[in-house]
Amino acid sequence: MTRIPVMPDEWVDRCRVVRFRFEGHAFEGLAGDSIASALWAAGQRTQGRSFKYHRVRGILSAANHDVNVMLQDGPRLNTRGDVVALREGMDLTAVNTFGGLAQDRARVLGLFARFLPVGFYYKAFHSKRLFPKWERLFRRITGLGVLDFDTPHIRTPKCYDFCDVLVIGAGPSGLAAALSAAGAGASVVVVDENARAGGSGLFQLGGDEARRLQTRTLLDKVRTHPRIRLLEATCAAACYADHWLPLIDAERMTKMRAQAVVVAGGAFEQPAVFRNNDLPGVMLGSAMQRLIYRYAVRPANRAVVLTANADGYRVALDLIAAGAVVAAVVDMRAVVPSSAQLDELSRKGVELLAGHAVYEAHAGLDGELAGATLCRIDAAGAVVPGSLRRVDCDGLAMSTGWAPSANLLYQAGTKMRFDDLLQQFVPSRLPEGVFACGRVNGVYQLDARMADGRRAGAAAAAHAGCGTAVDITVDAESESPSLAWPVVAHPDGKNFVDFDEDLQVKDFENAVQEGYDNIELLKRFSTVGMGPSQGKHSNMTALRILARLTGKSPQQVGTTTARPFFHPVPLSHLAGRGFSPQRHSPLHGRHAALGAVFMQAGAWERPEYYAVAGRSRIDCIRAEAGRVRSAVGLIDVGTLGKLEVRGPQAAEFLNRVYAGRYDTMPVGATRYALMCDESGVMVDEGVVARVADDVFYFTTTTSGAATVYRELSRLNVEWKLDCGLVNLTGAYAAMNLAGPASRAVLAQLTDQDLSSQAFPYLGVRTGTVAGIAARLMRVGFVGEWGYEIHVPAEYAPTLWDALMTAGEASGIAPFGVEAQRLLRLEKGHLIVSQDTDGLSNPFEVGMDWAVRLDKPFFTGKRSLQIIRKMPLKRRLVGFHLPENHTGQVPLECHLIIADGDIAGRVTSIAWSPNVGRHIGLAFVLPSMAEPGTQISIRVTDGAMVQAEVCTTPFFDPDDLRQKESS
Amino acid sequence: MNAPLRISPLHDVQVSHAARWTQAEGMQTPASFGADDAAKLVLAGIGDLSFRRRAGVKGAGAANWLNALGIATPPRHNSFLHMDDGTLVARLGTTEYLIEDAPGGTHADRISAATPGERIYPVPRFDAALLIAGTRAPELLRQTCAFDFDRLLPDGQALAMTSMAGVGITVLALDGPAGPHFRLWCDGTWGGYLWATLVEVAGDLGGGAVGLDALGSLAGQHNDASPWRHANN
Repeated sequence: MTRIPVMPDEWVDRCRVVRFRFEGHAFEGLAGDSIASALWAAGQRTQGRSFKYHRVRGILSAANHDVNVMLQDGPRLNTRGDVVALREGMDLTAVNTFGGLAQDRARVLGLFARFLPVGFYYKAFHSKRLFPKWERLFRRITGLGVLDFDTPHIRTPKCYDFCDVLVIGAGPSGLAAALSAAGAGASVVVVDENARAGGSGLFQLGGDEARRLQTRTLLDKVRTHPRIRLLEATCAAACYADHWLPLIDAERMTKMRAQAVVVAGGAFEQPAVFRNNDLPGVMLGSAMQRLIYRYAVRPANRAVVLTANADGYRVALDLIAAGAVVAAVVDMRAVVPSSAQLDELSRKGVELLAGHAVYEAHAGLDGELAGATLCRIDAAGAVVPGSLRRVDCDGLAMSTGWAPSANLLYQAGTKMRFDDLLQQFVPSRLPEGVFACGRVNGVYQLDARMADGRRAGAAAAAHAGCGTAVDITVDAESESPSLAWPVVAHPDGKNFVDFDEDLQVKDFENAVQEGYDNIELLKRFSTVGMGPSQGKHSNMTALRILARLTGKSPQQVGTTTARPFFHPVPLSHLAGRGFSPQRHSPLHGRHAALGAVFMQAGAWERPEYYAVAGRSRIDCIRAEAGRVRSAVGLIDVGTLGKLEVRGPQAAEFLNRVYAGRYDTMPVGATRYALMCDESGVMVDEGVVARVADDVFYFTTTTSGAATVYRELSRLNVEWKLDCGLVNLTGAYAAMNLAGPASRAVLAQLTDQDLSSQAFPYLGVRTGTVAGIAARLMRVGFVGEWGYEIHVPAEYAPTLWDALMTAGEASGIAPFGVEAQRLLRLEKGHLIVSQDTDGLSNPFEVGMDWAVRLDKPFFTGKRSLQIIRKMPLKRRLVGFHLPENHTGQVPLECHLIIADGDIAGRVTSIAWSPNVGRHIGLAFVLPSMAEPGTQISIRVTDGAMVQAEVCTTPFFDPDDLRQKESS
Repeated sequence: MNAPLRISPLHDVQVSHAARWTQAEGMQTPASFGADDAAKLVLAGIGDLSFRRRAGVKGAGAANWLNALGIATPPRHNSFLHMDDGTLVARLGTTEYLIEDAPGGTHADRISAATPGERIYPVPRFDAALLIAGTRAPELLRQTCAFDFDRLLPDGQALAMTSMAGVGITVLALDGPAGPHFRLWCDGTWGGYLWATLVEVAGDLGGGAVGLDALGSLAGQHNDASPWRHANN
């Protein structure tokens, strides 16, 4: 195995030597080499171990499917040696070995193969007693590569891209399709997973330079076409709805949206099945051609070519062109069609054996291919006794058939049918905007592939609105590219069907015998196609075996589901640069400057509390709450949803949306608003302010703002009322100035008459504060005299600063969400979604007063009318712990237990400095709702804490602090 | 009492990066982020135009009402026009309009002060308003938005309402002597996040935040005289 003279389209740069290490040994390759080609050129044919039996393996496809040549490259695990480009300084080791590739201790598993039958995993785990033992064992001996948990987070960019026509595959048919589509005026993107475009047109030559030149001409045109972008080393990894396709390159994932998609992905060459078909040196014919034309490496010195189609003859000619001796071309077909390639091989004196097969391959002392036994086969594929003959060889090419690279077509929703002549699944019904051409479409002859590409390209462009589809005749295949039964039986097995999972023919026979005679069941029981290559080289043969064993046709057997991704995609690509939208109040910077510790509230970051050096979190929260009770505090409530409805039927709109009544509300007043869904469940709450006869300004919960606006917009369209809805959540800021000194602070900044006569509790006024136009509402969520001040967002920091300055003398300080929660709990005010859940109705939380069933209609009314007549199943009540309680304190969601059963749960609980004990809200059975009832709360460790049901509010029950007299 | 100071919704994320500040239309706005502002603008510059005054209105009667106020309206939905005085009028959907004054303009104030009639619903606009320019701006957009911006360019008067980095935006493309650039608006409360995200991505592309000084005429489309009041802090 040596380098051969320069190939016209070789990928290697002979001027640049690349030094690397493999399994501790130094090697040299050339820039442009794959790892595998460099090793092969250096004579290193054993490049990995198989998954199950740890058999030595070498190159199989050289096309990104060689999962037995996966390598650890520093923190990069499972690097695919057959395609990953060599880099200077690589230090590579084969994965899945114990003690290195050459001395892998796990190779002993091969001796126990008979004790590891198909379905072994399932059978092992069947015993519950032995489950842990097997689990430990399997975890120890399975898994590919070593994960380095210190691997840095690589923030790969993600990208969107767009085109009229996306062509997947830059072989002859794909290139022709791209030129055809671009010629019609479409913007075209061509992607090819290979490092360089051209596909089989540049390596399946059969010594025929004209084939290469045809492809080269296409490629040159594509590269220079102004409407075509050619993306090499880029894999179309999946096909999602609306023609979204992730394109994966070395750096990133690009989410491509195409008007039309042309799949020209070609076909996977399939291994023939015979004993020892996995020895290093046995490889697909196309793999040998890739080594020759891409990497200028002679795959073997003396080769046998096993074939059943015209491609095998081209492989033989390419081997001869690369300086190899072809010992024999073994054709499994009884009758070989005449061809120029056949004549050429005859002229060159190559032995041609029709109706023959490889009975088995033989390993030399190094475990690599040293020879093959050939045999005659009859029409059914059975070995003819007495026909065995050994041939020495160090290379054995398999060219007996193909399977379409139809994964993306399947994902797009293509219906496929099995073509008996072609012995291949081909598209029978393509989804709209998806087209196929070339081998994946069952077209194999070079000229026909290009014609098929032109047809598909024009059709795709037409679909994208460019030009019109053209009727191009594509010649039918004259011979089948695939053999129906590429399997040779052997009494000693080791005739592998699935190289990922080391599955042999007998494994399928045993699985079917055990009743797994459906392709989906067979897949799961045998694990065929479940390895890293996802069955690209095994599914078709497995299907043929199952069809023969069950007496069905391949069409009847069908295929398994092709799921994303086509090739493994690095997690770094999937993670990429994360976008986590974060919403900030206009006052965020002010909060940060004041030492706020932020918490997440929906999409918002809100101050949980303001940290003070030397104080604990809970002390800070209690101090903030205490300041509101004793002086004045300021809280940012701008995260509340803020909506405005305007128009003659605005009141009617609110009447229908909320459970309360708003048409009777005077201008200048506010009213609590409770929103239910159709089933009567409480879904949101807020305050409605009537600022003009036909204008209402109202708030929603922070987390409900977007949902409520969306739903109300929908209802507004549906009801066709004469009013318009405007979302002001982001446009307006809001802050609540609360506490006994709040009026005095505000009075410094406004001309508004703040007397309780002019501006009573639950009033709304429009005026200016610190020169800023504002809406002011006298509300009392925290149970103090207070003002909610709403202003345009761009003035919020200015207003905040003005209030803080004005309040300095009164001892003003900001308070956060936790202090607000404590303050409202002291008043017994519930929070929808904390003190209610997805089943709570207004009656069970004591909000009968907020529901006006005498209205003609509101959302949820019908359900509430029914619920009203039924006995309550639970009640939300206040409770407190004994004043001298010590020990564990219940937490929110701790259960209330009665007679051994769940009788409710805690929804809110906190220690109240103003009440002097722990207070809370809880759902309990109606029979336990009477004040004075003792309840038992089960805390985390199972202990029970006693509490007593009590009335609410816990603090200032007569609301004196919100009245003038206070 | 002096007019209260307007604060950009992007102020909090700019405050530790801005090198110099100015007041534009009564709003504190970065005049410069550094000496390399102009260089960043060539590749992928992000500018803050939140200072421009704007107003919104929607409803079946909105177009006629605006016309009566002397404000032209685009004939097609999801399109925009520039009035002779530089005012940008964008039609969002069917019956909603965004009016953004050129520096020194008064339309927004007049709209806010006017009493709306039947089926006219004022939409106060305090958006974060951004400008993206530079030769690598298209790549920046492709990394953050699933919208095909090429579809905005040929027509020159179309706008899109889409999502960028997870934030709802209104965006349009404008031609300029240095090539196309993009204006976008989003709810101000998302603005800080969007600004920081775009600046980070732009940084990967050799660009970044750009102050008003470097933006020059880009910040005052149709009005190259830089009429905002500069008062360096």
